[in-house]
Amino acid sequence: MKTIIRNIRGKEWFLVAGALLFTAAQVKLELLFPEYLKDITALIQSATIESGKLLTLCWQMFAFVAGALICALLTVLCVAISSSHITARIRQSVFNKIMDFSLEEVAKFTTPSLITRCTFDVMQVQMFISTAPAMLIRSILTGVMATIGIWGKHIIWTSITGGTVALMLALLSLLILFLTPATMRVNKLTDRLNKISLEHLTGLRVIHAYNAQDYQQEKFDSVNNSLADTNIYINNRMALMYPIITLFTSLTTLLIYFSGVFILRSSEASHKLHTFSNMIASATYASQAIMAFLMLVFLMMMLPRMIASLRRISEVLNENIKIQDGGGVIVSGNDTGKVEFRNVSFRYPGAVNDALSGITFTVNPGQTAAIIGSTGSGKTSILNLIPRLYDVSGGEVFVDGFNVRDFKLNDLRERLGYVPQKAILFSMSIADNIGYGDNSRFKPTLENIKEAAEVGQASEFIEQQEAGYDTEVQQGGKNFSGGQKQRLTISRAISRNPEIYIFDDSFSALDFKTDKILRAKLRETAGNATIIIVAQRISTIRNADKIIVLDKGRIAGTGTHEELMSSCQIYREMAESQSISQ
Amino acid sequence: MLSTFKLIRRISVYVKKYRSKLVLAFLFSMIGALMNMVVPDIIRRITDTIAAGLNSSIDASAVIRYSFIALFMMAGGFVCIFLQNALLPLVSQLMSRDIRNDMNRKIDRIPLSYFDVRPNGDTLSRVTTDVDMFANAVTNNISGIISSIVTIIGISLVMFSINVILTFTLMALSIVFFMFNTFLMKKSQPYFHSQQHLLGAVNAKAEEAISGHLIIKSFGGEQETRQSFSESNNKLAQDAWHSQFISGMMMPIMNVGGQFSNVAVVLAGAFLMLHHHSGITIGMIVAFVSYSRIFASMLTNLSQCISSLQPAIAATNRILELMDVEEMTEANTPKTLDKVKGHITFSDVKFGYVKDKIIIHDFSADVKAGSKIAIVGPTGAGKSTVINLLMRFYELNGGKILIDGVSIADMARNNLHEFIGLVPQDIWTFEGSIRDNIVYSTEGISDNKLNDVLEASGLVYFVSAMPEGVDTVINEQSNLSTGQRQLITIARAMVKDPPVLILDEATSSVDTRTEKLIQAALDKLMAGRTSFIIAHRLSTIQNADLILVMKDGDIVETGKHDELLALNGVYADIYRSQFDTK
Repeated sequence: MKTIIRNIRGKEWFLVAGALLFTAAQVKLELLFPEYLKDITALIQSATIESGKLLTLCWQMFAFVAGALICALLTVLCVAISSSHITARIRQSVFNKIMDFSLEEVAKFTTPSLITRCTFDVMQVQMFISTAPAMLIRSILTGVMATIGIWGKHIIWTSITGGTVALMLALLSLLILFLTPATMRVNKLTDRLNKISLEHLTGLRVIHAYNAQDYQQEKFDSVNNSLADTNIYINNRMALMYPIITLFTSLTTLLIYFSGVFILRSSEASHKLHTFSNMIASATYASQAIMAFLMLVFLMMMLPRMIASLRRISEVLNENIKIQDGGGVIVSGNDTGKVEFRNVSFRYPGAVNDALSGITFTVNPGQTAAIIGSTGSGKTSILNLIPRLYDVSGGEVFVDGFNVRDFKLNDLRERLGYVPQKAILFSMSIADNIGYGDNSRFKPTLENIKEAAEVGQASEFIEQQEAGYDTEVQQGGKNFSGGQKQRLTISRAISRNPEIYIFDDSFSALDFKTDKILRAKLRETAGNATIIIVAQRISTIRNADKIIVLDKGRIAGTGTHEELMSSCQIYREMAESQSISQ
Repeated sequence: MLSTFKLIRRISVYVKKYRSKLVLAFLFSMIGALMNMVVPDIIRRITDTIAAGLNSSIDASAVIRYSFIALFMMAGGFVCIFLQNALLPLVSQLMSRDIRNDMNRKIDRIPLSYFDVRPNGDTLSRVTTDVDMFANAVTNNISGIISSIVTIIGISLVMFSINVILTFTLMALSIVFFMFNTFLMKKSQPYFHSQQHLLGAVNAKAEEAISGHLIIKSFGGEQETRQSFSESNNKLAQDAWHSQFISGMMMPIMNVGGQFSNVAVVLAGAFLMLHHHSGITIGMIVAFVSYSRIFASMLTNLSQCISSLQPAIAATNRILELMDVEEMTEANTPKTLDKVKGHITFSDVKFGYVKDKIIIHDFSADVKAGSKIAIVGPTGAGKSTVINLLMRFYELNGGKILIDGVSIADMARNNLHEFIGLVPQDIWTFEGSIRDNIVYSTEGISDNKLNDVLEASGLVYFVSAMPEGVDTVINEQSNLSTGQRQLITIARAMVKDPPVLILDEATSSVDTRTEKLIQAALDKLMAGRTSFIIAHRLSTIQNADLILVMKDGDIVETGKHDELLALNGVYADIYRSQFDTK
């Protein structure tokens, strides 16, 4: 709730206040209706009908109805304007916060969950704030006013209304409470069904190859059947809801009239007419009161989903971001491009074992360093520590001779050209993708972008596109093949003209030939920049100045290809399996 | 898009099984609506009886009689509406269960070419979301439409029987309000579309930015992204309140419309009562007040049900679209082979993924049983095509593929697949025990046999370290490395023990040391079997009996390693770039 209130600003407070005020006015006007009905009945039943009085009443009633309509529309207007702005602000703050997250927080929440929080959950909140507050005020006021209206009439009518309302609410609440576990089961089963269907689609080739159609069908069947069964179970009980409401509404009216007979019988003749019109007004009030409480029940049904969404949003907003700017450094010439690890250890949050330990190495300006090792040996973890995507658990990482923690984050990352394992492109033009990013030192011109694409071996296929460098990349880079995407992301790093290049297995989708040409051109263009490459293929890295062999998070050997061939058994085995010999 | 009529006819196949339940549901719905409708009329009679006795004595026995009739009607209405509310969802759940089942089976009969060009999410949402929407439409909208229509007709009849003038007054007013709302709804369509559009844009931006978080961070694109998001978000906020305002107006207008009609009816009734011949009683006015409420709410209900039917119709269309996809052709009278040696002949094979774009021209080769065939080529050369054809995932455009002299087009697919073990490029494991993942659909596998396979595939250490050994359930969260999952897919093929083996980059995700360990197992597995191997690393396939070299979709060279080197073509090129020492 605090999340919502915190996001209401200046004039929106007036709108909110306006909405509440107009709702109240509207309810007040609507509730005048039974009173008028009472007056009219009295007028009609009286011996002499004064048509002049009737006409006055008539105009007054129409005026009130029109007034109620105007109030209602003003409420809707206030709610629409304020809720869409409040929602936009919540969405923006969630988004901004996510943008501030470091990798650690993203990993903690997971990417799909963050997307859901920023889209679906925000929409849930919007739906709620655009309907719920007005509904809540309306139902409470109607309920209270109807109760007051009925209160003075007769103790029996009051207790009849109170009794039926209480009984109905109790029944409905019980029903909802009783069905909550089943509703949760439906959610779980739906997830499961989704999972099995997706598994079926991704595994189609295997399913065909293993004639496993029946095997999959059986799995699907069992979940599909229990989903249908659970839904039927819930529906059978939810089916009571609407009839209960109808029954109780009619029953209240009937009871009031029925008891009215006996009340009227015992009342004095002079009071009879008054009592009679009171009875009719009471019945109207009663049905209004029931409606009001029903609205409350529906609100209560909406509430859990809304609270869940709000909680998921506030979790994002209240998350502490671990990695913050350092004090800032002024880099002087000599060490530009130097990367140094001093006895670094690293453990992923929540993990039991260190992903890295005792990592010490230095890469000097202009050198090409390679990190090699089997899957899970910690190669990517080392790379993540250089741009401070994660912080070390122990030891220190130095870039340009300064601890990475001392840099302003943007200043640090400006110096790096990072190419991740998974090629990520944005839906903008190819030129914008290659020239992507904020770089205070240098903004690439189209010329620079074309040069970068040339080195990245991307210019050929870009120029083949109809719109060339203006070609729009579709979301997720769907209109390019894996190898093309990888070449675009490599070009992006090159156009940044960084001090240090970082390649995380970025050549895997390239065939050997392209891989080789690209590396040769890159070394040429990079000049005095440092290059750090993580790779699987020894052919990719064998010419590196320094090769670091990782094994289970520790360094198993450092040196050139030739040195390692003779000194490091793990490296030799890898090389032999790839048929590389001296 | 099918016309609504055709749509109903298609869906009626699923209705058939539950016809009797559905008819009962409609029957109950009608009876229930009628019974509930009579209640206000009975209350009218009670009011009139009381009013008539106001000045003398009230006919209590009549009131009691009426009350009992009312009670009976209410109870009857309760039961009928409950039964309707229970039966309809039951039918819709059972129907959607059947539809889902059929869709799941259909997926197995649709050619893979259908799925290869479509995102899985598209098919998935048809099986899950669209079926849900269909079920909801049957449960809520259809029953809503029926009960609204029944009620509207019934109420009109009852009202006409009470008083014609009052009925016309009421109907005219309700229809005016209803039309006004319909007009509003039409007017609001463009606003809704633009809001949907802008919301989609904002959500797409959020999704892209969150997925690309790593790049945004490392390239300092936070500011830029934030700005672009905030632009879209503000545009949405500016626009959203229009559609919210308009949609928010509907309810109050219908509400006020109801009240307005109430007032009008009361006043018209009052004036009519002034003429003593009109036969209007106070009870009639009270009854009309109730009827006008029901009438207005039923009209609103009807229009809401009809308008929310639109998306459901679209969803049903998407369901039927999938059901109508042309299925894979099977031979009419398939030849069944019990056992094959694995002698495979390609004879003048012509193939193109698009009919008029043939990529494999007249390929012929004779593969002796037990020989080893390698397929090599740069990324994107179409190496998997041969596998697609051999498995008959795609149909040839010309020529034949024969297994032991029988054309695979003359065999049933299931029969063909019995003889082939596939280790696909995309590693596929599912949520289930390791045992289920390995044994999969192969029948009659003893624990001994499974242990042998675990041993041979190099999984044995890893499996024994798992908490429940081979019965440990694996899923996305269980942190299996890609390499380990790939080993499971290899073990799956080992269990199947087929005469023909296809390894499509089977060791691409296994690190080089592990690869070495299982290479021996793979060699053992391949011994005596016809094996097709797709590999990046040429080292693994140099001793193949036949190497197919692919480029741009076509098979450009065939021969043994030495022959191909001597050709000095594509193969020699790839070889040199890979084994190049400098």
